[in-house]
Amino acid sequence: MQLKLLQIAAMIRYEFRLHWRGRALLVIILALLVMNGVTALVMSQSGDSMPAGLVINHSAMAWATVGVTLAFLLPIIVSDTIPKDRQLGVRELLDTLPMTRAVYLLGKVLGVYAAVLLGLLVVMLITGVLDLLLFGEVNLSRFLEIWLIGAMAMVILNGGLGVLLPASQPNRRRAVVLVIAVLILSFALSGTGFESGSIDTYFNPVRPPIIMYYLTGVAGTFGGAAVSQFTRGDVWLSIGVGLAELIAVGLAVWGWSRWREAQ
Amino acid sequence: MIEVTNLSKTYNGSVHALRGIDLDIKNGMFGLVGPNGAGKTTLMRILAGLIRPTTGTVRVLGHDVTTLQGKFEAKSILGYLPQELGLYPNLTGREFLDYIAILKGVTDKRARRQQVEDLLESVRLADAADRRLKTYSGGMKRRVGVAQALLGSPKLLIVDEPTVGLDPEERVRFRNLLSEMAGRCTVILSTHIVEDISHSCNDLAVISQGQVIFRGAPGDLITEARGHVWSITTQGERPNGGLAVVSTLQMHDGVQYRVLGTPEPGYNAVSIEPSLEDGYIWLMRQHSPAPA
Repeated sequence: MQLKLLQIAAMIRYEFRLHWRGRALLVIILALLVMNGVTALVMSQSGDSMPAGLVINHSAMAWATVGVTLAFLLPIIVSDTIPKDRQLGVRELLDTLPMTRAVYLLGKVLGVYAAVLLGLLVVMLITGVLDLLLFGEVNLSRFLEIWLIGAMAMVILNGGLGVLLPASQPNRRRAVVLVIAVLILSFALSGTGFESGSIDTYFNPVRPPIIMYYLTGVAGTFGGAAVSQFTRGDVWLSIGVGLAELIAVGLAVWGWSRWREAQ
Repeated sequence: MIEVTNLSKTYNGSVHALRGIDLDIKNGMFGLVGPNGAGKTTLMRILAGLIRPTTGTVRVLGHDVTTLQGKFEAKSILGYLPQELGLYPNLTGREFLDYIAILKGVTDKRARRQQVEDLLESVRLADAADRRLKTYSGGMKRRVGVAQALLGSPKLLIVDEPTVGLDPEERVRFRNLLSEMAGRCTVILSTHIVEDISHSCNDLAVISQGQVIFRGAPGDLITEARGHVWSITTQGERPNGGLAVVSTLQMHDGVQYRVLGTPEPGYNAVSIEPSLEDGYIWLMRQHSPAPA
């Protein structure tokens, strides 16, 4: 058991480095920082014309970029995490090591979480400081809820699925194509809108309840401009369904890799 | 140490890579030689637990590698250098070795660091250890592969075509490194470069078309060709009559050929002492299908 934990820790450490030394994650995090900085500057210049609850509105604005990025781009940029090992030829070497398939998959997924969450932590802190400097105040509980529940849930669910869904693919290109296809299909199947209480809304990997609740719900509550049809209960239900999806996909991938190993 | 019994591997139901191989490999350095496509890599991959045989059993230190549990146990004592080694281009040489060492179960931090440093020194990569692997030359990457295979003091070391891409000095160094390892564990060296075997192995098997066609000491293989190796000097015309030309040397008074077979009397052939390469080529000729 101790060896397994050490192996997982090593995979987290080195996956973290590999993701940060690649370009995709760095570009995404920098883009989020720039977008959040620009929107904060623009909104602060608007001054008196903005309604009350300006701080929260910028939080919602920041969430718009972060939420959409985590819903659509994150699964794509992490999709090659496992296929890349196969494409580089490292997988053959890893398969000769005394490491179980479960440890391998867990290490890969947790490594992605560590890399992405650290990037988001930086974005969160800089966004918070900017809000404080430009608007003079930050509603801390709402701010933290958006980042620590909304953003973290999106990373765990969509980042995890982004790693696991294309795990069987032989190369990066096919992994990316598969994830894009799943995202397009999910969006197409959701129809013209997302409805609270509708089953497919909660199963949708784009996570409409989480995105919409923090986008319009939080801003609406404090800015008085818009009211979301989704509630915090919908957010938790969406997270629960997402976790079930993640576990189901993880078990399927683990079972598939065990079956392949036995062949 | 390693017992291979009636081992066969068939791909897609029709490509027979291995056909009923039996081998008993003891401690020391064991050479597996054969032409490209003979089945060497398939055998290495089965021994390393990467693929399952179609039939037969493989026991490594008593562990049956055809079962999941046995395979896992065998992996904990294995060092493996695949024919085509993949590396993470964005890790440094030191980081990559540290990573693999942990995954191999070298959990003590101080011991791991020491082992990584020693191996970097052994494969002459200490100066480049903190450079990213994507900046390494082909030979340097091969040396990283050699170092990772030696991590964790394996009891069984499987190296598949290890000297490909190494310069002559590196090859000699690597052969010596393997020979040192052979004093402590079983080393299986698969290659199509006979010279690698002749300098380091005291036991070898020749594999062709999925079957073992020779098993014994290098000296025994040399003996197979004794009396069949000749030196012929001509003014340029290539010797014929079913002779296999092993080497051609341009001399000031003609061209000297080293040939295998039975030359016609007119060639004034001189019988010479065979090398291991001669023995290997002679054996392959004996087992190649006769021309129609």
